[in-house]
Amino acid sequence: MHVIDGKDIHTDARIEADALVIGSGAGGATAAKLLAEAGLDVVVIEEGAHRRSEDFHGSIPHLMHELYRDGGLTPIYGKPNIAFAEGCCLGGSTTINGALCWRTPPHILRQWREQGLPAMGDDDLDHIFAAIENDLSISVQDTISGNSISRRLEAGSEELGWAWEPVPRAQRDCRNSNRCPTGCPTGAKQSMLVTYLPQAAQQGARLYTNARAHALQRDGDRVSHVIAKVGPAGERTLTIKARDVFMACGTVQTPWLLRRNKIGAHVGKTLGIHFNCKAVADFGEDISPAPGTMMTAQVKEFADQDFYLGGSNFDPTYLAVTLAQHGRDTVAAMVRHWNRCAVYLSQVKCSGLGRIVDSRMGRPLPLYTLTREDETAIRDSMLRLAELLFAAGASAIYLPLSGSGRLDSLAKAHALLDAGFDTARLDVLSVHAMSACRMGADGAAAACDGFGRLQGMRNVHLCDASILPGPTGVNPQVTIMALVYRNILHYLDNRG
Amino acid sequence: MISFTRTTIVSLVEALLPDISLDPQYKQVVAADTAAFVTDSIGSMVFFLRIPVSILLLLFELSPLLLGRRRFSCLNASAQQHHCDRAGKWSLVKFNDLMKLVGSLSTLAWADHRLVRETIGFNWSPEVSQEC
Repeated sequence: MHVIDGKDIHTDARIEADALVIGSGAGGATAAKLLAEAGLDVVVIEEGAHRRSEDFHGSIPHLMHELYRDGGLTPIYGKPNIAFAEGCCLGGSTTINGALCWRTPPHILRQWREQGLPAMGDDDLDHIFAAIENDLSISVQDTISGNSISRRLEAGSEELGWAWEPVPRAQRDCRNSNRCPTGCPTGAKQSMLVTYLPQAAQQGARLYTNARAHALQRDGDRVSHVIAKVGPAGERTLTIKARDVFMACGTVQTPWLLRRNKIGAHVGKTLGIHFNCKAVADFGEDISPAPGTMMTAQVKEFADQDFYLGGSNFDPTYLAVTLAQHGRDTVAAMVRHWNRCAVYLSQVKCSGLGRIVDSRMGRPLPLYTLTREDETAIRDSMLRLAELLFAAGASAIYLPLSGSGRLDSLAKAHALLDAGFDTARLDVLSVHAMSACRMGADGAAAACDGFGRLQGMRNVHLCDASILPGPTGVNPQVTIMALVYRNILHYLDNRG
Repeated sequence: MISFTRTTIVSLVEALLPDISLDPQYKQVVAADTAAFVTDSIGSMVFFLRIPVSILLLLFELSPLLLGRRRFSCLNASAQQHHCDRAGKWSLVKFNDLMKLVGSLSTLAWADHRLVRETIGFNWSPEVSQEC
């Protein structure tokens, strides 16, 4: 795959294209592939760098620094502050996620249809889901070797009579490297980096990395030019004139770029997120947690309460960081016995709305404050997770509440959570932000129309998680790709 | 990064690092590498985040003076640990957030350190592809 590194551009430059795609993650890569396959002259600009599979075997902290926005240190401000992680590299977050690929849950699609959104029926989306599943080799992987963390989860679920499902993942011959969050070192993960981006490039799309979209030049109801910062220190400009602009910078950056350039209405006002609450289980015996992947099984018992339970990638680094809030002595004790331990999580869908505002200091400011409903759902999810882990054979657990310490029985977990807690003690993170520029039915107060075109603009199309009409509850990669796929097909059918 | 901040970070990291009975020589190397990583991470934060963190570090450095003690980096090791434990509960001046940030960064670098991994007997390494 030929990629032009923006750092190698030493003079100001101007280029033209039929379609400019800003961002190369799940949405941007899908748009680029389909547009290029339709014969359009496509340019993709990506803010982050191009890293290959063989680059992904180094130190975890350094890879995080290279692959994540701000090294993974982006907060969503509120009470509590929420750590937010997103990819900032070629392939976007698909390079650093767990490749969990669920279709949009039927009840979520029903809600979106009821909001008046067009083309959200099974007939409209089934063939798109199927195409994506085929393109990304989405399948349930063999769990005979490795993945003891997920197998413990299955056993606990069976013990409790809870529903669980094997997890479909975008992977080919996964080797259980357990390095999903810092890029797959074997190339097994079918991220955009190894699928849609090379395919787009093969069809003639020009890919630029280290090229950060900075300004959108407006000409009436069109964006005529986009100016990106390139050069060794970002001191040069690459000006791209495009007939249509497809923005896929992610849920935080897309609304911020629009707001900074005073384009669009209702932009950044409807942020939705999923909360991840991580817990550590000590099984008191060697469980060989090292070979595995993010998760191969997920508990679906509480889907109607909008939370899921699952495992997480294992490495002593992740174990230690998850336990950091419990103090150095706990970290030391558990890291010495890493082979007895596993990290699990509950993923909870938010009930409120956050916002993306411009800090006026060259950065977006994502804001979200937990609602009462969020607090209840998080508490319930932690209780259920505790129940599951003890049923799975844990001798003790650590919950994501500062100072809560080692809990060696379910009764102690109940006592802790039933007494209520100050949310400031909660250590919660998010890797799924969405719906900040959501699509709406005709006439609705939404940032985009029903096919992702920015309201009031003729040639600006949003192509990332920001267009989702609301949080999905499940990992949103396939939903993002499917809606972008649907919108691009609509664009190609209707372009003048 | 300003030198007082660097000094505070080095002392803070040493106070927060877990103790797994590393060989004393290893311990020094790990602490130095970890402090360098934390300093670099904070130093490369965007201006928007770096300035408040630097101000918090300065306030933290001076905070023991309010209790009639010496500056944080001049305290002995056990007093530094005691102060960290106490400061981790101070939400009013956001020292709890500072402890969380420095604690997470230092734990991340510490646990990934080759000498720590050797000491705990973690030798799992993934296969590497030459594809793409």
